[in-house]
Parts: sequence; structure tokens; C-alpha cells
Amino acid sequence: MEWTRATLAQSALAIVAAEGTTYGYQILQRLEAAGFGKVKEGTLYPIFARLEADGFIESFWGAGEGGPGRKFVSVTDAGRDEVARLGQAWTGFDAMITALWKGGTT
Amino acid sequence: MGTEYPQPQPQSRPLERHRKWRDDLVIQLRMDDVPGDRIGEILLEVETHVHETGESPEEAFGPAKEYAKERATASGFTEVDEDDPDSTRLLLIGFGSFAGAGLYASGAIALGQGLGSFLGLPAWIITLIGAALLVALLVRLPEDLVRHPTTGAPLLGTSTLGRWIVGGLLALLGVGLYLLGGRLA
Repeated sequence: MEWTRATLAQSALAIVAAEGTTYGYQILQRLEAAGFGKVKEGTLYPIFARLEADGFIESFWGAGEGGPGRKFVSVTDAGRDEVARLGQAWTGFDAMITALWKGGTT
Repeated sequence: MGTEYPQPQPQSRPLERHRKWRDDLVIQLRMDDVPGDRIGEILLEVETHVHETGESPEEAFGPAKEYAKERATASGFTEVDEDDPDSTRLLLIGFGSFAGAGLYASGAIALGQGLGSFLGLPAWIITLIGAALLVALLVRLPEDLVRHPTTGAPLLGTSTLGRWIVGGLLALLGVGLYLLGGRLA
């Protein structure tokens, strides 16, 4: 659904903020469990790159489970502020759409 | 946070089984002017996922070229612009290679023919200038290796051996041209 695609980056950021520090595969599992369906890793990493360029997350490499290494991401203070801002913006948006679609006026 | 994550250890390379995909990715990233250390990071992300899930890179990341373009855009890199200073640098390197090769070959042949001078200069100087241009350009071949993001180890081999081989071939070529000049005299 277009809404899940439109909110994917923000949702990924929200998951990182909730976890503090996490990694790609874990985020994909959380997204799938939340109802986003199977999101590809190839979709997630460009999102990470943009979030990091915006200063909302930081990344670092650590040991993986017997593999070549694992990229971990953690939220920054700016990222936490952004999640809070998104939460407020979504509440207002939700109220507006709900009123509109149910035939009321704002 | 507070959690200490140990440095990754050198491991087997899951992408060795998907060389074409890997090579297509690296080539496109290079064409999009993505630095070597960034390419190393992107490669390792793919390797990690392939290792952890068993999925092929094509399944998880899509066609290599498309994924490379997406990563280059997301990271703020774009294809080389014709008005970009780097493009001018590449043109100069290309012109320098052509000029160096021409001077080197001409000078070596002239020496072989016993000609004292060429283009108004002693033939040995022409040869030397050509050789110096080619060596300078060889040395300036990309140092921007694809590296592991934390260990710095080259992920796709080094260019040092390649440079020695090319340098050796150039020397052999010079000898061959000198001998050819002698035959033409």
C-alpha cells in the first residue's frame, strides 16, 4: 500500500529510536511484524544512507555472527527530536484525514 | 548505548559466489564517482546480508546497477558531470597518456634509428619525457581502493602488482620499439 511506502523511512527511524542501537536485519523483522510486509534490504540501506546524511542516525561496524561483520545503527539526539516531531505531525494529520473522510469538518 | 562491539574479523567472502553482481555494482559505483571507502562499506553491507540470510544479492538488493545508482544518489554522489572539475582531470589524464605514449614510442624508435634529435630535442630526452609522463600517470592510477570500512584492508585486491606489470610491459615495449627503430634505419 502506498501509505506504508510513504512512511517507511520514518518508521525505520522510529524503530532505531525505540531500540537505541540495532541493525538492518532486525529492523526488517520489526517492520514485517508491524505490518509493512517483506521489505528488502536493498530498500532499507538507501534509507539508512539518507537518515545518516540528515544526521538522524549514526552507523558503525561491529562483529557479525561468524560473518564478514555487521553494520549497526544508532539514533542521534537530532533523530530522537525528529521522531518526536513526526509523532506530533502524524497526530494532526490523522485527525484531519479522519474528520475529512468521515464527512465532518475540521 | 554503552555496549562494546568488537571489531569484525576477516571472514570468507560470501560475494565470491556472486562475482558478476559484485563487479557490476563496483563498476557502476565507480562510474558514479563514489569513493573507494564508501564502496567498501556498501559491499560489506551486501555481504553481511547474503551471509546472514542466504539470499542472493540480486534477490535482496535487485539488479546491481540499479542498486548502485540508488546508493550513489542516497549518499549524495552523482554521475560525473561534464562541467565537473573531476571530468577535466580525467580528460587531462587521458591526453597525458596519449601524449606520453606517443613521445615514448617516437623517442625509442628514433633512438633505434640512430637519430640524434627528434622534434628539435635529443631523442633520448623525448623518450625520457614520454616515459616520465607515463610513469607519473601510472603512479596516479586510483589510490582510491575499495577498502573494508574498519580494517582498511583492500576488499578487491590492490593495484600495486598491476602497476609493476604495466611498468615492466612499458619497459619491454620501449626495448622493442628501439630494436624496431634499428631495423627501420
